[in-house]
Amino acid sequence: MRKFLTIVVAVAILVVGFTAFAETKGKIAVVISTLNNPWFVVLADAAKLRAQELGYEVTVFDSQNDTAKESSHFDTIIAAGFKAILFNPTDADGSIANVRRAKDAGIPVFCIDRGINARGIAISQIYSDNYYGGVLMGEYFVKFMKEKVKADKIPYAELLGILSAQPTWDRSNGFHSVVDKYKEFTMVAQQSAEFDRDTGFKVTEQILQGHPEIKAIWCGNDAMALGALMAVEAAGRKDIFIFGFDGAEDVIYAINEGRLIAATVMQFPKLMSRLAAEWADQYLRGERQFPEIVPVTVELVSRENIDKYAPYGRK
Amino acid sequence: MRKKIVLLSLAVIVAILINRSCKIVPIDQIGKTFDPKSYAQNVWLKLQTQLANLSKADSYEVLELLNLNPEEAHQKYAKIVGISNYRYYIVEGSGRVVSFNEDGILIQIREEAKQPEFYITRRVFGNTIVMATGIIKMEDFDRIMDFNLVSTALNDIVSEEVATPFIESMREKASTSDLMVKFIGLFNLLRDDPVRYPISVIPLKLELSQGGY
Repeated sequence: MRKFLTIVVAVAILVVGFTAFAETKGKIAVVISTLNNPWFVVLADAAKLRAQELGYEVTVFDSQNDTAKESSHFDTIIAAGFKAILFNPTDADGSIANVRRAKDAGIPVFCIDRGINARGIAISQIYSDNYYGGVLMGEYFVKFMKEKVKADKIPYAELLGILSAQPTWDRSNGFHSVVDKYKEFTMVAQQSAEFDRDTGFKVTEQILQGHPEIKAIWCGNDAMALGALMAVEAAGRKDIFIFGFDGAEDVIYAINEGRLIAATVMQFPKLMSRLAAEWADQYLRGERQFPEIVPVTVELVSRENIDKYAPYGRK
Repeated sequence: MRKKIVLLSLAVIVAILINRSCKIVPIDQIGKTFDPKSYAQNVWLKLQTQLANLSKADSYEVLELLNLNPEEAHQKYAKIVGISNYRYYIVEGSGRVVSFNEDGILIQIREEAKQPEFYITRRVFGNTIVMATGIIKMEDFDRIMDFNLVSTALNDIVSEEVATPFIESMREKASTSDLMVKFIGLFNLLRDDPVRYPISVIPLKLELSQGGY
């Protein structure tokens, strides 16, 4: 009897295993610029989960902000017969060649969160409207700081992201397209902290030493904003307000708790990743009509409307 | 012989230095660098010729429906670009001048309204003009940065050529209480936010007139 049961269980396992294998539609690659930032981990996880739900075997590749590593991932992906790539580019220009190679190999590429500076090679580029996010932040920054600091001169600092990354400049340009029109505001320091929390902390420490007069720090992402917050709090300063970009978990909590982070710009990584996975699936099932450029909403999150938002999206 | 080698080595070094310090540009590419300001100027000329044909909603009707049922107003009169909670409106109409300052003019569209409904602003930011009108598209540009630069330059043109001179002209009036403004303008609203008045409107065309509603 026991032998019979063992055989039945073994056959059942084999059948289930075979069915699961048979139902796999193929392999999808998720290539992410860096996984050393929780925001990108959310982006990768959401893409992976949705592609798995749609029946694909998924492998996530971490480019570590290095175009050479990214290129090597594409070599692997092309050689290993992946069917589609959900791609978060490291460099808007430097990543073009990789997308072109995938296209030449017949592998469709869907860009998520960031785009490439070329048209006609990625099937679709679904990304946050970073420029508009910068504009939203600029408008809030002006209003908030003019209310808080009633002075003719309001000195502030800017922490830029990775200098070769397109979002760095889209966010910064959007912000300055507003703030530079107001003569009260003077940017006394602008430095890259590479979208990194620890670097944000170190750079802010240096800025506070060189420019103790600053009243605000505008940061191109939330990781740098958290680094800046730690440095400002460590210096015992309560008169400097910090502004971020992303809608990351710790920043949403910091705004909610009334700490010195006044606002951030919410991006929707799960929305972008899910959509890219679904479109890749539709493409592989024969659909060919996709918009090439898809700007995805960004929204300002401050103390006034924090109730509507959760980390990485709306409640 | 040694002299020749020294001279040859020097020539090679000079050649390397020249090569590294110069960028060689094909002659047909000279002067073809992208100029967002002149591009935006052409876009503005095109937009002005198309103003009459743009699909515009009557501002009075838009405000009435926004009061009654914002979601229905968004569906009936507004446009969505990409995946977004923003709704873009192009409106026309006229309103009574309530007051003005250096940045804009407060106007009242509906006589019975309890507050000024529109603020015609000279602070023109973001992509509202290009998103609402569709006069340029992201797909038209290899680099999104160029799209944004054109959009920014277009904002500056609209601010400098439409809004600012109009606001300046208001200063010359002895009284603004009986003035009406005819306008074509744009604005966006976040889909599920309560409508806050006055709504900031980017003007594409402004005309002053006397009289009432």
